[in-house]
Amino acid sequence: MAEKTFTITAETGIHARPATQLVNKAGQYESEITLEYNGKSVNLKSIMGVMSLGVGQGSEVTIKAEGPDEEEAIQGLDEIMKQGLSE
Amino acid sequence: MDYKKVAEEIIKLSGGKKNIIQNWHCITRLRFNVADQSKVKLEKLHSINGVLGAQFKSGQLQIIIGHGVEDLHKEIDAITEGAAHSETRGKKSGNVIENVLDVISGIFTPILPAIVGAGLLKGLLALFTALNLLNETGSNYEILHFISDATFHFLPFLLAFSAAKKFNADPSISVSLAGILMYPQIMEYAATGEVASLQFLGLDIPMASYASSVIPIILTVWLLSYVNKLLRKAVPKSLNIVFIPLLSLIITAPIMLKVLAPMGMYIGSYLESFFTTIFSVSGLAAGLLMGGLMPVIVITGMHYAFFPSTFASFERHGYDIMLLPMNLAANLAQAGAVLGVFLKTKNKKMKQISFSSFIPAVFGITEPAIYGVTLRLKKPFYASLIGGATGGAIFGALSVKATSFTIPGIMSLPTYIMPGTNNMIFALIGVVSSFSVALIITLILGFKDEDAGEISTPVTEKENNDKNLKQPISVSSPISGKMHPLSEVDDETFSSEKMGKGVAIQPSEGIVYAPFSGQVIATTPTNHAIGLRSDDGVEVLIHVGLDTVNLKGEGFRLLVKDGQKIIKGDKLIEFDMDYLKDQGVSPLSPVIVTNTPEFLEVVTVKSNEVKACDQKLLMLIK
Repeated sequence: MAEKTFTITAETGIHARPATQLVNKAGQYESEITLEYNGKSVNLKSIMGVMSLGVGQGSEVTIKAEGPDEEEAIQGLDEIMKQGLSE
Repeated sequence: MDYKKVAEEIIKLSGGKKNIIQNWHCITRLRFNVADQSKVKLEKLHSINGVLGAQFKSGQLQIIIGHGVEDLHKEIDAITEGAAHSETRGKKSGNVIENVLDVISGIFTPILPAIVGAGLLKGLLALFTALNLLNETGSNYEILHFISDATFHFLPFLLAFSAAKKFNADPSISVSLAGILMYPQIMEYAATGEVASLQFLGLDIPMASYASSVIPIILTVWLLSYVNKLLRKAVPKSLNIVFIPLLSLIITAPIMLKVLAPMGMYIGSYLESFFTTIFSVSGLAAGLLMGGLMPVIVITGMHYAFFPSTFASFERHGYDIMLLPMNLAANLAQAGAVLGVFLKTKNKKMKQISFSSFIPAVFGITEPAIYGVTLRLKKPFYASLIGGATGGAIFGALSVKATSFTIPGIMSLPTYIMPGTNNMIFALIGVVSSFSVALIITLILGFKDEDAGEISTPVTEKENNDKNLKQPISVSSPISGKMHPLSEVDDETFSSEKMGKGVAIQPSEGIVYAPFSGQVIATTPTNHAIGLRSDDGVEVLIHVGLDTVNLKGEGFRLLVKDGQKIIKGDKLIEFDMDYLKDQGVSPLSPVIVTNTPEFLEVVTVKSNEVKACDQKLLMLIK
């Protein structure tokens, strides 16, 4: 399993647009990928799941990937996160 | 920090390296799964110089290190000898054979309706011709033969479609590859034997028939899924649509024709000479092996490699002692195993499917039995192998001879009659043994009955299909207003359909209603969007306005809670249209089906003005 924790710096948190970007990216990998926030863990390949977390600015989220391409998945998602979502 | 020393210390205080089952790290912490939590000395871990803290969280020992965790983990790894880094490995490995069987039977499950239907028809045809109710040379028979045989002849097409789903490859390309595999000209070359191979870029591409083959197309689609993935990374996005399909075909097809498809033949030809050799030494040993391995030989398409020698043997001796007798034993063992499943299973659907696959199996058509029943339950499959081995050993030891080429089922038994010999009696002994051994072992070994819900049978699938085809799921509009196609939304997130298909509504009233009965599955702190799931499984995201997340909830009132059950027409959100206008925010509201991939089709109903809960907005076909 690979994982990485991010602090969300975007003012509006993870709303529709960044959620879609994350979900689309996650969908490119075979690994099971989850997003954890506030004790709740959702499938990062489901938009509804990600939206339902309502992650706001300043929150700490953890992305976990488990599967054959877990390292690449974390790296790929890290790139998306860096595009204005997290530092 | 002296990483090595700290690592040793940490391992000691975590109960020693034997106590650490798994270890990995994130950016700040070492994470261990330990066998015995009581052996871990948390307090002392805290006091190690370089450790910022230690805790158990959801059953996991976390040691907070901060900077340097990666280097420290390397040391830990060296000491624990890399004891299971990740949790996935354990789950994935297990038993390679079982995994392969799982993948194959998983690919067959969606296409079972066709296989069971066509297989049963084949069995009945054999029965009717045996009872002289149908004339084998008549046109009625011929047409029925077309109907029953097409599924098996064109099996690669069905498998391509199903494997595409399994491996997440493009279905249209996958089916096209099946078409290439069975291209009429290739089949003709193979049938007439005129052209053995064609040169392609200096490589000899063998011209062979892959009708009814299983493994070639499965391997091909598997390869395609990887080719696709690589291409997606390599090809610039703007050229995706044109070049990925082109390159997928041009890369995958030659590899398929040159390597993947003939592989079974290559291995098979070695197997053939191997068995011929043992047959000359010990018929019993050869029969035991070959009768037992026959289903595997057939699944992998290696039996085609036996055809030349079988025909040669008929020519030279007037009989065959390898392929046909061994197949007969294996097929009847398959029949015995499914009968065992039929007798033992408590699952009603499995009872139906095992019975309907038993009949064709008796007549030598074992695909429904193997792919629908035994392979799926695994233990009955092993039982059938043992049964086949028993019958095969008897056939081999007594060198039972088949005198002509027929489908190896009970109807082929007359071809074992050789006047003046005991051949027919020996054949009967072998057939009965393999059948009853497989049956008895299936009953003894048992199997894990599938839960009623898990197993999809032709019957229920048909019912579902009928229901859904006749009645598409419809979703009403959640908001009154004017309808716009998603492509007109000035926000790429929505207009690109990346989130899913849907429509946008220019509201005429500031209320979001429940467009169906179901449940609230997502709310956001800013109340500008809501996710719903209908009772029939449609997930819809209603995003009120564009960039409304910036309003931070101002102007929105959420009237339901996350997880709440809703009934069509319930008010979900009230929003202040004037406030949105004042803030310069567009109230255009996308309504998106976020689980679009789960549906065959999501169709937008064409209309202009829609009234909430009244007009249909979307039709979905599952």
